[in-house]
Amino acid sequence: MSNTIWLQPPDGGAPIEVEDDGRGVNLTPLLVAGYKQCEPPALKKSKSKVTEEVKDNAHAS
Amino acid sequence: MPTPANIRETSIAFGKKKQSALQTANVLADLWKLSKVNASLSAVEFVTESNKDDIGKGHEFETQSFPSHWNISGSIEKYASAEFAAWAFAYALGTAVKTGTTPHWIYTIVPLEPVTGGIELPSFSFLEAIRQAADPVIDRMAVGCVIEDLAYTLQSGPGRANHKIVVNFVGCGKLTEPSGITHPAITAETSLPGSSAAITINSVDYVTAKDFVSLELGWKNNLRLDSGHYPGSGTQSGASIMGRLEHGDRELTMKFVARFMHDSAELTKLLNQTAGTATISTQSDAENHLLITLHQAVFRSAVIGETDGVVTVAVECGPQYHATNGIISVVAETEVTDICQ
Repeated sequence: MSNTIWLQPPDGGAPIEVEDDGRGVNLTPLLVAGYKQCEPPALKKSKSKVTEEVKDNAHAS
Repeated sequence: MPTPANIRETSIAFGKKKQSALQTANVLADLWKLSKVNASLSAVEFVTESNKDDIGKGHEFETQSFPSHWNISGSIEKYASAEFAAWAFAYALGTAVKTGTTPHWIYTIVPLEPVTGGIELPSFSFLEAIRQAADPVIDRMAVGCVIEDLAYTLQSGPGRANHKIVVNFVGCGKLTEPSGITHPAITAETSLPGSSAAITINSVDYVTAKDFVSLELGWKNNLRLDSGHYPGSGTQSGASIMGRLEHGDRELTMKFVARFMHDSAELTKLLNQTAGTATISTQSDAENHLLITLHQAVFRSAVIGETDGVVTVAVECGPQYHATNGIISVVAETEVTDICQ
């Protein structure tokens, strides 16, 4: 079970991965400080990869 | 021939996922249907304005009326379930992040942080129907609804009614009638019995001490309703609808009643203005639970009285803003995904 979440700092800096203990101990201070949920940086990369592959196949046919 | 409708035929469905914008309705896939215990239907009011006070007519009587604005409001009263608790606190407080995977979703919920989150609360569509399929008595959708206040209660006694959540909401005025959406199948809920509660307030574990009687917690957004109508906010049937629904000065209240005995510390803590945390948790099983935390609270008053012939103390708490953890946080775990996402 994945209990981590990516949060972006309020100043728009690099996202950080935070582990959720299920009681809000880690997440609450960050949310109160204005951190916002965001996509994991790695996931963004893999999404663009998939787009590229689809385009390649379309050219081949 | 039409026949009278029973109020128990009422079906409600509303946005599990939040709307993308205040005046943009939820689509079917974003809705869920739950039961409720209050019989009242939402109030949909087309407000008109008279010209009786205009000067130049020669008298004080009305000769013409004008569409003014729409007022829409409603309430959902339910016995606490993990699903509805997550929904109610997420929409009332405004910020909800989700972790976990199927079927264990954990929502960590805090009030909107105005600097980065703004002051517009998440909105949902509220659908209400009676005999939707054929000859509908009511079939309407209020778009852009926002929670005005939430009341959470725990009481002594048997039965589901002892753990309850009531939300009152306000709509931006946009109404779609007929709704054009067939209500989905009802979502099964996981009840959170009040008897499962663990309650610690200001360092006292009231459940272990077998002292606790009842608790009421309230959150009020004090929505800025009039300023929702601004130049360009939108119209419907010639009457104004709101283009924004923002919170005003938010309020958190909590009071509880506990048995008062020789070594009870409520009066001492009141006199010393001792500050501490308050945690209220309830659960059905490991996958369905609710944890409410007030990170810093003092006692505002403590009055000794009686409940069912037993000496008790009624305490009004004064929630304070904790420098690190804020005023309140709620963690809800449920098997339903995408609540207020």
